[in-house]
Amino acid sequence: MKRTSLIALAIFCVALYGCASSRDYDDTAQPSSATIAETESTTIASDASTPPNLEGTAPVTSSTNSVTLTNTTDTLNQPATPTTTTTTTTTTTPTDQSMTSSSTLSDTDTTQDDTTTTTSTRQRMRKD
Amino acid sequence: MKRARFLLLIVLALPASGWDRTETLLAKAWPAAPYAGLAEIGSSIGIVFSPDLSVPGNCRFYSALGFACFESADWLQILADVHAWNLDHPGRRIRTLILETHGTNGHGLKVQKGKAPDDERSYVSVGALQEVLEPVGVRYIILSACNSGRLLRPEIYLRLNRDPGDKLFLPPTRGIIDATPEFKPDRNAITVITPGASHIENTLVGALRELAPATRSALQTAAKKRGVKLPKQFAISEMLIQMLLRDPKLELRTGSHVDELSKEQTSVDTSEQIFGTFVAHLNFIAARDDRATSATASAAR
Repeated sequence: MKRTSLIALAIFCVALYGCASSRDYDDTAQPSSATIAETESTTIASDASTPPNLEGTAPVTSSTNSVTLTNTTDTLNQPATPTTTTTTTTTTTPTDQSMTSSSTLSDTDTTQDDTTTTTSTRQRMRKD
Repeated sequence: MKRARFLLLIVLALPASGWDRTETLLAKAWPAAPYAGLAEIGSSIGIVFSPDLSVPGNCRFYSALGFACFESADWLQILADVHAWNLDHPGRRIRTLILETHGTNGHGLKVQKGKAPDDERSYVSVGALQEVLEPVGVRYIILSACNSGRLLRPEIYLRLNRDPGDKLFLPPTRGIIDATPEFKPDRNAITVITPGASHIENTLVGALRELAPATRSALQTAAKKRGVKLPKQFAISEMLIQMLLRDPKLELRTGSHVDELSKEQTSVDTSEQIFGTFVAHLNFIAARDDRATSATASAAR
């Protein structure tokens, strides 16, 4: 009797675990929304009578932004190829800091075959 | 006693439902294709770039990888282009759209050419995206923007606040798109996915020169296949890399919003480490495909 109970308990446990895991497949609804079947029709978009609401310019205080890009240096040591150095520097005053990276990207490709050495302080752009 | 055991079983089973949430969402939105070649990495995936989060020719890089890529400061243009793509490419329809755009501190999805007040710029609400994109077959929208969780707040889900009092909410010189009053989110088939934690997302700039020569060669072939010329640089977000590589540290979620504004950002070292995994991944795929091609050629001789 005890063994039967244990087996039943084990089966129940496995089934319950499976249910709990598979529940995620339905856990994709939006706030106050429910995912519906893909075949369900809708009458919203592409309907000329209900175009998206468009609104014009809103007054917002002007701002100056900052981008500092420095020293993009590419050096090719290939015999037939001359060394190329490009330096770009742009500096303005930041206010929103949404792009605050200085970039130094230098590559040394000694053979342009299989040896590539790269050191970089990479440009990062904030998506705020 | 039996009831106690039952409760214990429930308590033990519950955490399992959360562990695999990200994996499950990704499996549905971007099914893994472990044997896809470089030219098919982005199959059925659309990607939208804000121009100021991109580099010249960026979309050509993504086209070579098989993505449908869009870049504009005008949401209306972007949505029209997505419609046109799905109508014109029935075999490569976009099912999942990844948004590499600004989140405006969670006040609206923003695409812009620059940060000067009169630069081209537009905003869209999440509800409007669902409303416009559902009829052409898009089923998942992945928000790779800063503070994405705040974009799902009920008060701005359908209609954006025109005056949120945030300096990042610059003039909408190309307009704002809201959902129509008739739109009912609970009858929409699109699932909106956001990062598990609402924080500052980063886009990184890489150079093709950082890829192995064999990878560059494979990319050139892929680009030729798509009829595009590869750019010298490309922009890619940390989140896109993590999704592509199924990074276990990535957490995604759906169905909930957050209110608090986060200033948390990954460190430079972490960014570099993430970028390195992307380069390594492309190099691996190119090397694998090159070896497979060589083996096939040898067998044919």
